[in-house]
Amino acid sequence: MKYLAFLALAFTFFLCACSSKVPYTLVNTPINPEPLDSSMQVVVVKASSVPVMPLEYKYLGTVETNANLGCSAGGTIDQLREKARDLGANVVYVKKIDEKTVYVSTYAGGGLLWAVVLYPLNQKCLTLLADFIYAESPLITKLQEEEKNAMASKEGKE
Amino acid sequence: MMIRKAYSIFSIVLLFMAFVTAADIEDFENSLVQEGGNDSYAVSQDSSFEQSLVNEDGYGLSNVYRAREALMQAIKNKDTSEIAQKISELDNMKSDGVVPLLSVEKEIIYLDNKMWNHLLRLEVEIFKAIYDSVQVEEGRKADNDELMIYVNKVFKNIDTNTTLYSNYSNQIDNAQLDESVEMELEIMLLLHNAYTKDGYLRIAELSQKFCEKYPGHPDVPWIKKSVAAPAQRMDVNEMYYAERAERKEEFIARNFYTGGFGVNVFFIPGGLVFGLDDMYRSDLFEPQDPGVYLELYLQVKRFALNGEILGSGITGLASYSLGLGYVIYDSRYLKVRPYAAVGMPTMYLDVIDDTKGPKHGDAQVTTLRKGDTELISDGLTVTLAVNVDYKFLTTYLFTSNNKFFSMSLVGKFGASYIDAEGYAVEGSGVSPFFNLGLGVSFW
Repeated sequence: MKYLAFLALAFTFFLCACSSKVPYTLVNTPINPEPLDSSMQVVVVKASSVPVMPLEYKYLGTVETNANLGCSAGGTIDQLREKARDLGANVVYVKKIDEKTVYVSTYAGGGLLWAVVLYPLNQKCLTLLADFIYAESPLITKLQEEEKNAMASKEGKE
Repeated sequence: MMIRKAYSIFSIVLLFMAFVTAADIEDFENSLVQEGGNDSYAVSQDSSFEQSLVNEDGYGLSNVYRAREALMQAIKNKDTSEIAQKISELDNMKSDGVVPLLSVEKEIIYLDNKMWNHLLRLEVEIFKAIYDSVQVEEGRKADNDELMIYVNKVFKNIDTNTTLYSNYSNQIDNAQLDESVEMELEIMLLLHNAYTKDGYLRIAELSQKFCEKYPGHPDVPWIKKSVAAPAQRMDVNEMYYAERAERKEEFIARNFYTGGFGVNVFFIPGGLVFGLDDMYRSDLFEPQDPGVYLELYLQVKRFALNGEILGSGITGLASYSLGLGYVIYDSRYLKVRPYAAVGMPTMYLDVIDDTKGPKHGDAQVTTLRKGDTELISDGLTVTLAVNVDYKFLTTYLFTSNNKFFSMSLVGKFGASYIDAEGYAVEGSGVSPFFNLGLGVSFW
């Protein structure tokens, strides 16, 4: 039995290792999104500091990263930026930030009595809840320029 | 000045600090983990502040100092109309290089002096203008005076363990304000802690009530879209299932021509035969209809690979075939998939009486016993047909929002060229046929 559980766990890890993407749930996306122009920057806004959205904006979906295998404490923001770009959003509006423990499910038992058991892993996940929006405002334009300059500066250092 | 940073929760103009650049992305992610709700109110006890009071250069700010002093006097006198007037005067003194009175100072003064209507207008103005601001309140500030100390003192008395609104809720309740003012003020004050102390729950609820009760209020469109909407979009799980229900037809349509797996079971075969006369030894066998024919198919994009036991126009004659199809039409209820297949004809024959006969393919003799069913497969079948599925039931597959399960009435119409050959079967011909049945598909 332990051997089977071990195999299940190992297989789950294998699946995780094969995936380089942070798991997430995405809702309310447009049917045929128009990706953001590659020259435009995506900026990240923390709702804890800016608790309102612009007066005019186009809502393009809500995403929540999940505390599953494959989650990460780093790289999540980059992935959300990438997703935002695909959806045509220039702002990732981060509304909730949590750090959660990962649980892995496997089967345990014997004979007719089998059950799904959740194993807590010693892995923490940064989970984010964010809205994707497209908005134009003087401040967003300014931030996009700053973002562009920061990226150019970073690439220059590398 | 450290004291300035301490006001970050109120000082909307500093909020651009919340925007993140690629250069500090790693620091940002680390800060997300460490971020708490209490840091916002933290007040510096840095003694450099007191020192700065002595050293600050007041050159060019003498008028501002005087006006701030007058404002402080009005505060001491608890004369709210004079306070409003002095604040207005200070606002008028604002220029590119001088900031006579910070927004946060106004907020504190209005809060402490229970000037709720003024506070509400200021909050609305600040929150509405956040995205239009491209400059922080930078410039020389007359902040080393009694007014500054007063503001700092009030600020320190705010309980950071609860929301800003909770600090003042009793006073606001007792102020006997118009209901619309009271509701909107609560929303605005809760906004300060909307996403740090779960204020969004109350904001979402209150905003909805406010918009429903005062649809003609000029702030309603803004509250609805910029304040309430993000606060209402917090439960992704709930949104996921709501969206599944609302956009089911759209999601189904998105999956047309994408592929899947299906099983069709045909109960009603039928058709015509041209040729194939005397194709089996009727003196030895009685044809047996197997009753059920089956098709499995795997569809990738528009292409489909299928394997089937196909009925024909002749009782007892079927074909085991493999085919390649192409979905020419897919919709909510109808899918049309023509295909071509090659296979082997098979006859299901019941032995009429005990007998001996030559074994298929060689000269060996085989014994046939009465009542046995012989499956005699040899030869070639070429089929051109079209599958027509009427999807009368389509549901989501388990908890997915992009995979579906469908049940269909399925019809298969076409023609087979059959060339059968064997110890008990021989002949060739064409059989136009139809098969009717039920199908399930996962797509």
